[in-house]
Amino acid sequence: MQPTHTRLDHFDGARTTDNAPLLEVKDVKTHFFTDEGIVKAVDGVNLSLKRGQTLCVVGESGCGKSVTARSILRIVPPPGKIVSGEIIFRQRNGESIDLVGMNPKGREIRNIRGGEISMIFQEPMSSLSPVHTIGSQIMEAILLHLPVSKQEARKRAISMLDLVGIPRPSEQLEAYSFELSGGMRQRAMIAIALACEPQLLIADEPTTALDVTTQANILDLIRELQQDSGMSVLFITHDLGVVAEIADEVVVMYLGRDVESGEVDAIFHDPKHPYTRALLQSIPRYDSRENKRLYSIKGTVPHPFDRPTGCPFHPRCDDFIAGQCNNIDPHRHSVSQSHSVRCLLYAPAETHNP
Amino acid sequence: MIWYIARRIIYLIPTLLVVSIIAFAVIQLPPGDFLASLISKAEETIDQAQVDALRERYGLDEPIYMQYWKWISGIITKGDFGDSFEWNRPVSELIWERLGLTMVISLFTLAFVWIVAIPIGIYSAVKKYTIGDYLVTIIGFIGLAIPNFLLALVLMYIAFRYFGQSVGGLFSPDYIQAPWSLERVLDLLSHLWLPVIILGTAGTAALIRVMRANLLDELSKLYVDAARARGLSELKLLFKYPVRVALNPLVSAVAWIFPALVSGSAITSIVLNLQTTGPLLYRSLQAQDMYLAGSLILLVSILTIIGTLVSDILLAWIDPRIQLQ
Amino acid sequence: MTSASTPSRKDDPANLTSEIQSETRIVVANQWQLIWWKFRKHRLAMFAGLVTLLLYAVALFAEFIAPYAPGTYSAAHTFLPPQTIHLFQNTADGWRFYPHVYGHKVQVDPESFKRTYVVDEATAYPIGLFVRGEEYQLWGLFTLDLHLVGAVQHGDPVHLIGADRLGRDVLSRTIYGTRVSMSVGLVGVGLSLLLGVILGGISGYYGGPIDNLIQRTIEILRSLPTIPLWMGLSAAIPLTWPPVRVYFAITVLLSLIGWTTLAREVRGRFLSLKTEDFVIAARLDGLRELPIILRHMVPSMTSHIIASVTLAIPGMILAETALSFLGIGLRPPVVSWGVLLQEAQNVRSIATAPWLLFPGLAVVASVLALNFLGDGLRDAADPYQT
Repeated sequence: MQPTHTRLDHFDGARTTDNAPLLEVKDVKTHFFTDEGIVKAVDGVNLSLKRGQTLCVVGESGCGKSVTARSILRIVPPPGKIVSGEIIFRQRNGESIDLVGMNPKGREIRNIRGGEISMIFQEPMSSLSPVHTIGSQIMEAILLHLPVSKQEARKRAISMLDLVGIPRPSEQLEAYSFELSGGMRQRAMIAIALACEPQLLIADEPTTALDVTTQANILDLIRELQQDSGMSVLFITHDLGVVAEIADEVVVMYLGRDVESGEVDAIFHDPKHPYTRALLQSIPRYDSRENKRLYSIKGTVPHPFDRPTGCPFHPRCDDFIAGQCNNIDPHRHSVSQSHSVRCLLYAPAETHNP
Repeated sequence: MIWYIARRIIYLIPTLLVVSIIAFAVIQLPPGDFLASLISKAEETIDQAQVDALRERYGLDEPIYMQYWKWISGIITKGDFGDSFEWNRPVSELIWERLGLTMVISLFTLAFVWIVAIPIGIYSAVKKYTIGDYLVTIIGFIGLAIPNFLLALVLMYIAFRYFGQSVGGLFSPDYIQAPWSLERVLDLLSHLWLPVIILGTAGTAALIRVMRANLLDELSKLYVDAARARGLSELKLLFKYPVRVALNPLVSAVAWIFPALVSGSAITSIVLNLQTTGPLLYRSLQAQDMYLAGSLILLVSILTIIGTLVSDILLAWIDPRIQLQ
Repeated sequence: MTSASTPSRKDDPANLTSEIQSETRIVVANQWQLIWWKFRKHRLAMFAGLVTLLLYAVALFAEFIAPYAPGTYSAAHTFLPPQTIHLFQNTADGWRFYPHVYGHKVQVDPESFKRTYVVDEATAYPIGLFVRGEEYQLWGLFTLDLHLVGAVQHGDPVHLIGADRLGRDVLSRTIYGTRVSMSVGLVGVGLSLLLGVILGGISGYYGGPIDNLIQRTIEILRSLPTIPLWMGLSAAIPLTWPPVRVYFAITVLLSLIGWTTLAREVRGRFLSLKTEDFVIAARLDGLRELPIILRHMVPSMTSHIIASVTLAIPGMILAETALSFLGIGLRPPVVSWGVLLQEAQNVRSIATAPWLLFPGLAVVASVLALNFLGDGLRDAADPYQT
């Protein structure tokens, strides 16, 4: 017996097919105002995501990936605040809205959260309530966004659990998070996130806390669900292997900003930014014949209160141009139609002067 | 759940054993044979036959463990706690109403503490580092620092000085000796507020801090963000998730607040002259009326142990994680 | 992050070394320095720490600070109300600085024979700092007659907080009470700490059935109502015992029941430390158990234990006060805050002399100070956590 996943009719009619991006993040800055000073966690990030595609945001820990994701849903914890920028989101009804302009506690953004944009987090254990059943949390999401009765919500919850591959779904509805394994918990989280068929799923390192086999299963699941529903996925990870596997587009972040963005092939085969190149060099390759030391980027990520001047990567950069890179903050420069990079090496000559 | 309760009740047995030994030790502590003090206190001379009968009854010539056995088995099988020498009546006749009133005061105070502490704790955590939060914190610290009896004295003085009333007692004079009736219950309730506030202040202050700390912990957890990302409104979110989880330690806090209340009520009752176990224990200790004192300590301890048990069961009921352990 | 000692600007080359120093300062700061820096940021805790130090100083120098000895009485001044300090006196030449208090005249109500005091502005007793007064022996070593505050003329009745039913100075007695009350807390906590660290340490380190037994014991002790228990046990202290013996008996009683909190704290710390990498590393290096405990685990617990000790002292002070107040703790002639509050046991005596509650203020102040201090210490105890 296989309960079928019922698609809700009222969604289909509204799906638009034009090629305009679903989500555009334009020069967003999210700063944390702490007692010790301002931490510029995100300091001018740009990204653009088309319908049905997967955009991977990669970077080291602390580069502002997660804060970018939270900024989109407007769930940046205090004392963090979006200080400037735009986040343009195309709603189901075709209307484009700027999420930055919304009251983070208001009804508008709440309708989008879980309804149009869903999010899953790094640690499935702690992102489920310890004292509520899985079922109550799925049904909560359904009842918040869909005009259904409790009975229908329950049915839908069961079919969602089935869809994400949780065995005996109607039993597991009554389970608590501590009764499930890590992989099952993340499946449950995905079920909650997709219960209302969002247009966009933000996955914040959803596989980092899981073992490798489970990781692969979860990735496959997300990809399958994406193919079925046509949703877009914003996938945040530090694992380039994962990127290669699932991404259509890639944004590389360093110290709160996008340093390079483009299609996945371009990024992997023709990386421009010294940071991207360094990242790719530091992946261990099993087919490598030479018996040489694995490359590692020199230095460490600077302290948040101690941002370098000019290009933030210059102290660690192999192609550092003295007097230039430490003074000029590079703009985004296009190297091809869909490939841009923030580096003076690719800047037109005239902008070299400070 | 039933197994869990059964296990907790089995755990209770060693506790009760220890408590009864402590209570028995208190009976035995005063130097000398208590019969001697009984004889010295008695107004008319007690004839030897009577003394021998008492000696036989309490097993005074037998080894100490036999005396304990006689005492405890008398309590368990016949509800016989021995006699109070000061009152010249069986202990069991003296204690039940007072024990009941101790219970009533403690339970009312517990309810008061919860009702006041939870909303204030939530407010304090949600509005962390605001003036309101600091105010609550400071008042909480002061509440913890004032001994019950001092608060009682100050409130009594204020009532006496500025309202010309002598507060205290649990009943109006007309009802002290009256049999139980609806009017007596109402009269009791109208006197209850003062001891409840006095006893509850420290507990409220402590619980506000516990609630605030718990909630702050929970508010920063990922499941709160996850629920927020689902589109839940802030208020619903607050009460459905973090507050709900933060309440669990509060329920287990009953396990230490309840003994503290019973304990505190002993001394406050003495100051306020309430008809609870406290003043009776005090007087019996001063008069070296040891069977009465020992029984009171035993029963008050059992009372708090039962309170702890109830809070444990309650916690297991509201927190699904507990039974698993 | 620039230290106060380097006023010069960043781009000044001479400043380079100090900048490096200020940077290395962060790197080499040891645990205690970090704790101190974090604690210093906690204003309220700093203030509370000062108050606590002050209270212990009062306890140490009670003879010098108190204007009178605790037993000095004067039948003529029973229930004398507190005198107000006047700093200036109006003379023919205008106002002059002349700190003094006014004397009192006794009026006896002809009907009720109730004595009332009326301020007599005609008699002014000058008061001052560092005055000569009654002789005393400081710590049994030096015979002195210098007092911090008091009447300039030895023998003038100056009772700033009033006098009690025997005409004894309430302020002096409260100051002397500080010694006993504050030290009961320290001694009691010391004993509790000993029990708590040993039993909690064993429990946390070995685990298993020993842990279970100790945990059960703690649970049992914690579920008992302490005051009735203390009442029962202290009633057994013979009336014939000398005060010092009673004092120790009471502290032992208090710590017998009070050690459980500290034991729990120690056990919890041990449990979490046991799985820390540096402890496992030490064990893998082949270190034996005792050196591991002493050299690796105890140092990283000390700050937490100091914080819990500070938080445990107020409980002891409150317990002593409560027992002595009831007359089953310390007994006169010992002077403690609780013993002093015995004088204020019913509404009638408070109504006649509300100032008898003054020692209660001392209790509240000391408990508050220790609580704030302990709270600040606990926050600072983990300097690596934000």
